Amino acid sequence: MARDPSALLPEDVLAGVLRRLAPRGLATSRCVCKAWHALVDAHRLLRPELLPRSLAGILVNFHGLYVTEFFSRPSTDSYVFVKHDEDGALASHAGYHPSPSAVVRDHCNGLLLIDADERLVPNQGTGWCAHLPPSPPSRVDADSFDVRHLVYDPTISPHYEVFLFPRFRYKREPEDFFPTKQSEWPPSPCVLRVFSSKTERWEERSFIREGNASGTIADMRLDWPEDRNAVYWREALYAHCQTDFVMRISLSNNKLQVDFILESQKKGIYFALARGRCELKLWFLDESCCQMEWVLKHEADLTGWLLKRNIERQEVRGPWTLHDINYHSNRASRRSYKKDDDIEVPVEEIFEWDSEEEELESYTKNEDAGQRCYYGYINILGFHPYKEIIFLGERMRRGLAYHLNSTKVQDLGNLHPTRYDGGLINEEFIEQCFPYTPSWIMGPTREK
Amino acid sequence: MASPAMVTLISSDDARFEVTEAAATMSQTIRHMIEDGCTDGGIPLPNVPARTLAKVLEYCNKHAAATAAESSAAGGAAAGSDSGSSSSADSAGKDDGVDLASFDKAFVEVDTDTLYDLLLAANYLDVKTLLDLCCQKVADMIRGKTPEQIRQTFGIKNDFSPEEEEKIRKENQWAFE
Repeated sequence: MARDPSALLPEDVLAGVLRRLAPRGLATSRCVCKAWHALVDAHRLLRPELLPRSLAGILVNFHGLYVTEFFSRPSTDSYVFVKHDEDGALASHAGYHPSPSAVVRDHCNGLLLIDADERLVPNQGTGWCAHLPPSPPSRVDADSFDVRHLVYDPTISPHYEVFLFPRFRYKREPEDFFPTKQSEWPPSPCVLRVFSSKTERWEERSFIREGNASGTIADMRLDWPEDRNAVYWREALYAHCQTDFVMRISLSNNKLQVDFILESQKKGIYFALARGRCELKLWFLDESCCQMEWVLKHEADLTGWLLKRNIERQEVRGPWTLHDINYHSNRASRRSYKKDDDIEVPVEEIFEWDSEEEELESYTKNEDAGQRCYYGYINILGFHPYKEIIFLGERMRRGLAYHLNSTKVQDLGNLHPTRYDGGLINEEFIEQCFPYTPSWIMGPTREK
Repeated sequence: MASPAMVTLISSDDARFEVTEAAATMSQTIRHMIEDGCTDGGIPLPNVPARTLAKVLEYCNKHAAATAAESSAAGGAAAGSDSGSSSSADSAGKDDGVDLASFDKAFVEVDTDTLYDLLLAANYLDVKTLLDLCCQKVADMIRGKTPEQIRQTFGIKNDFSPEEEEKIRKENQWAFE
């Protein structure tokens, strides 16, 4: 049997070993024995308060607006947190700090992928940021463009990766001149371009498909290419693709699986679809037995609730608000961000719920709703990453929080960007949303 | 070429090792001793047994030689007017880098007892790159394991009561989900 290192190695040597572990490894090491527990704590090796653990708000890309909006409690973005610790100055703030012409293209555990003059991967929490080198051209021989997805889990590694996925441009008639139109999609092997912060370069990575393809490239073209998210969870990237299938890309064994219809939650992968005007359907991805299977978990129709509340006429009120960055950024009176020295990182859950919840009543179409009809619609903003809550938008007017377990709905507050006042309804929609979980972990450092 | 300066190192069990000064001074501890002029009759290293010292010196010899080859290649490239010869020197330097990385990887493929001995020696002799290499190796052995698997790997006795362990686990529940 091996000898106990804590009995044999000087404390500073053992600390030098444990210091190399990511937060998850340190949390495990604390449970090994009393000596290791004391060592991790004495050297402050584990700083869970720096990890993404709470929801600060939702980043929203409105169609036609220049800057990504932030929908949150009013207090969370106006404070800049500056914290100093023994490793040097660590500047951070809890909210999203908008910069001119910055559109957030993806978010993963506090890391943001931004389209600005150059692509950046900034971590808003620490102020750390990196520039991505230009990506190599796509090998997909068709009329396509790339979407980028971030893969980052600071509890496991300080490194991140960016995946490029091809999207095929919409074609009303599939019989066009592209020779690849009958090629199956995704192919096997599926070659994706990946940027790794470890090597600081782009590379091509092959993934072997298990099972059948979802269709052909021609099939993909019949569906709109935009507005689809991807989620990274437990060493796999789940990308929602055209024709509503999900590509599951396993990063541990370079395999790829295709299944139909996403969002990550602490307990697993969910996919939600808003149908009709206000019907909600929610599936849970069951991965318990080797096969992936989508299980219908929840169905709801919010029409009754919306009508009962007379929501179309009711004043929008709630604890959250849209920060209206696009409106303020074009005015002289642009909001200035407060600075404060040495404010503690907020460890408490920012999300609190007041009693403004109303239970969702079952509603059938034949039921008399007071001769009224609901003319609005709902759309999905995202899932709460740590709670059984789905965020909904009601007609670009208000945000709602729908509690899946209790079927209670809460009015979150005003979601309407001032720039949409007097605009064309059909030009007003949300392109992308990201529930934002800030992180205070410093970016990856180059390996020695 | 003049023969390189040699020093004699004496292990805790009185074995004598003759090495180049370049290899020996990868250890900051030995470097200071040489600077202080305590090299007469060999440098005693009372904390390092022969078996471990031999292994450490294998590492130091390899790395000192690689450093020397690199600097002479760089010097040759700078001095040489022929572009062909400088590019061949460059590629030789790159091969050395790959070679050194695979040497390092193989070097720490040892049982845990040897690894601890190396860690202790690298710490005492203050060979920073070797200490980094060994620390990383032990960290890699911990990574991805459960507390019980870590205990088994390193022969550590669990001195927590089940209640205590549960409480500590709860403090960072996120890491166990």
